[in-house]
Amino acid sequence: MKTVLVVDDEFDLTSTLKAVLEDRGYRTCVCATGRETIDCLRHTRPDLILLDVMIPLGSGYTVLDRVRATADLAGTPVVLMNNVPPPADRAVRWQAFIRKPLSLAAVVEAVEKLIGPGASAGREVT
Amino acid sequence: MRESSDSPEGTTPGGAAGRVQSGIPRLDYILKGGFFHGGTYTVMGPPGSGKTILGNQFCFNLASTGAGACVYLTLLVESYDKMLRHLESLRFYKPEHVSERIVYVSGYPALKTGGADGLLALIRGTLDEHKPVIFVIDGMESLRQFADGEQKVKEFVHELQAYTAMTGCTTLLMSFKDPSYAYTENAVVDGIIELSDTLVGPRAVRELTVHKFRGGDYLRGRHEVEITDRGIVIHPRTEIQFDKPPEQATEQRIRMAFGVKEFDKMLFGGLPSGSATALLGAPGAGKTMLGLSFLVEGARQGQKGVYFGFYEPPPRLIEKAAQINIPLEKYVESGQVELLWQPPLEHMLDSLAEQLLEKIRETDEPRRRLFVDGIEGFRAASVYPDRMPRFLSAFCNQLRMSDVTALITEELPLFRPDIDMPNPELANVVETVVLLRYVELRSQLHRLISVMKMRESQYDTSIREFKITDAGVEVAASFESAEAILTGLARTSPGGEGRA
Repeated sequence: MKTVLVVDDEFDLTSTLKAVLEDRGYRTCVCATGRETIDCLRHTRPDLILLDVMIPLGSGYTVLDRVRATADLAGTPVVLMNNVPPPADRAVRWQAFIRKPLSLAAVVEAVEKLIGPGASAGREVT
Repeated sequence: MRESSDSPEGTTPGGAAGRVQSGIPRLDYILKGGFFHGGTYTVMGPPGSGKTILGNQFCFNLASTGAGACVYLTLLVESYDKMLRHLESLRFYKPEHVSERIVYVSGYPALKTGGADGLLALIRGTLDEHKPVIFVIDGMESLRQFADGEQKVKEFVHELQAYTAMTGCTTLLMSFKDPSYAYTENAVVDGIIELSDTLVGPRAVRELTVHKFRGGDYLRGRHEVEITDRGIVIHPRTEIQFDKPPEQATEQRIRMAFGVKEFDKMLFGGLPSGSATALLGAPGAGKTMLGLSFLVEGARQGQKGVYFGFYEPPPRLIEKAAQINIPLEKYVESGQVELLWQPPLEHMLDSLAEQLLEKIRETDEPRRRLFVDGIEGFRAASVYPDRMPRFLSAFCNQLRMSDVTALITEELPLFRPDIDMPNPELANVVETVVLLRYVELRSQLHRLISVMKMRESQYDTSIREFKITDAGVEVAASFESAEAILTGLARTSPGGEGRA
C-alpha cells in the first residue's frame, strides 16, 4: 500500500485528508510541525508528501530542503500547499503546488497523478 | 476620513518610545501611542465583534511597514484558510505578506495532544524561529477547554507573558467573552480591550472599551466601532477627546456678516468670528436659506465655507439657492464653499463629528464658516442621548479653536406656538441664538426673526419681519411691520401688495 505523509498544522484539514486518502486505499501518516516531520522522515519513507508551507517549528520549505538533501528521499514527490503561491525566485523542487483553501478534487488528482491510484481504486463495492 | 490611526493632532508615525502602533484607525490614539513592546493584551468580545479582524489588521499593518514579522496562532478547530479567504475582501489584506511576513500556524494539534504545556512549547519554538514583533493567539477559549482548570490558564498566560516580555514581542490574546468564566488570567495581562456588539433598539452597535492599560494613559469609556472594507475603524468619543480645551481662542475677533443688510445691522455687523450660533425655527421657516446666505456672503468676502447637512442633497440645495438669487453654485464650483451631505440614514455620532472636524482641519485658513443643517441629524445618530450636552460642548469648542464661525440649525415643532428647544443644551454652548418663527394673521403666515441671545456682544433686541423672495432673504428695516403682525394691526403698505 502506498504511503502519503500529510504535513499540516490544521487539525480539521489533516483529519479530512487522512480520511479521504485512506478511503482511496492509501496509507497515511500525519505531522503537524516541521520538527515532527523531520523526525518522522528518519524512519518513514513515504511515497508522496503533502506539505503545507506555513507550519510551526520549521517551515515547509525547511522540510523540503531536508528531503531533497537526504539521499533516499530526494526523489520523493512533494505537493506543496499554501495560501499564496511560492515566490517565483525559489528553485522548483516540488512536483505540484495546490493553493489553499484546498479543493479535495485537486488534492486527489495530484496524488493519483504522481503516485497512481490507491489500493482500493477499481475495486467493486459488494 | 483619514486612513491613518493618527490622533487629530497628528502623532508621528512609528509611535511613542517603546510602543508598537497598530495602524488601526484611532486605536493608537485611544491608547495614546499604541501598544507597549513586550506587553500582553487580552482582546475579548462576542463572535462578530471584530476580534479576528483587529488581530489581522494589526499584523498586516505592521507587515506593510516592514518593521518585522508577525505570528498569528489559532487555537480554533476550524482552518485558518477560511479566515484568510474572508480577509481577502478587506483593503489591508496583502497576499504577498502571508507566509513571508505573517505566519499563520495552528496550535490546536499541540493543545489537543500536549495540553497547555504542549502549546507553550510550540509557541516558544515558533516565536524563537520567527522572532515576531506581534504575536496573536486567536481562540483562547480552546485553551480553557483543554487546560486543567482556571489556575492552569493563569499559569499559561503568566509563563507566556514572561517569555514574550523578554523577547519584546507584543502579544494579543483573543478570547470569546463568556459571562460564566471568571477570567482570572486578566489580572496578569498588561491590558484588556473589549469589543462589543449589542442591539440598542433596532440598531446594532459595535463598541470598543479599554478596561486596563498598564503603564500608560488611555481614553476611557466606550468608543464607536465600524467594520468596513478598511477593516476596523474606531471613532473615539468626541467629548473625551477634547475634554481639556484651551481657555480661550487667541484670534482677534471680527464680525461675520450674512449679506442680509438689516439683519447684519441687528447683529452690529455680523456674528463674532470663532463663535457658534444656534438658528432655531420650524420647518420651512427659512433656516437653510439664511444659512446658505451666510456661507455665500463669506465666500464673496474670500472666506471658505462648509455646509454639513442631512436632508437636502447638493444639487437640490444649489437649485433652491438659485431660485432666490443666492449664487451658491458659483462658489461651490470655485471651491470656496464645500457641500457635505449625509443622507439621513443610520449614522454614528462620533463618526459624523470626526468627518466634519477632519474636513475643518484640512486647512488652517482663518475665518472659515460652517453651516450645520441641522443638529437633529447628530442627535438621531446618538446611541446615548444623555451624551448630547457634553458632545455639543466639546464639538463647539473644537470649532472655536479652529477659528470657525459656526451656524447650527435646530428644528422646532411646526404646530406649536410655544418655543421649546429639543436640545436645550445647544442654547448653553453657543454664543448666539437666533429665532425664526411663523405668525398667522388673517389667514396669512408671516415670518419673524429675532436675536434671543448674543454673549458679550451688542445686538438689536427687536423682532423683525423676515421674507424670502425671488431677490433673496430680506429683513425689514424696522420692528414696525413685525409689531403690526404681532398686535394684529397689520396694514397695507403704500404702493405694495396687500399685506395682512
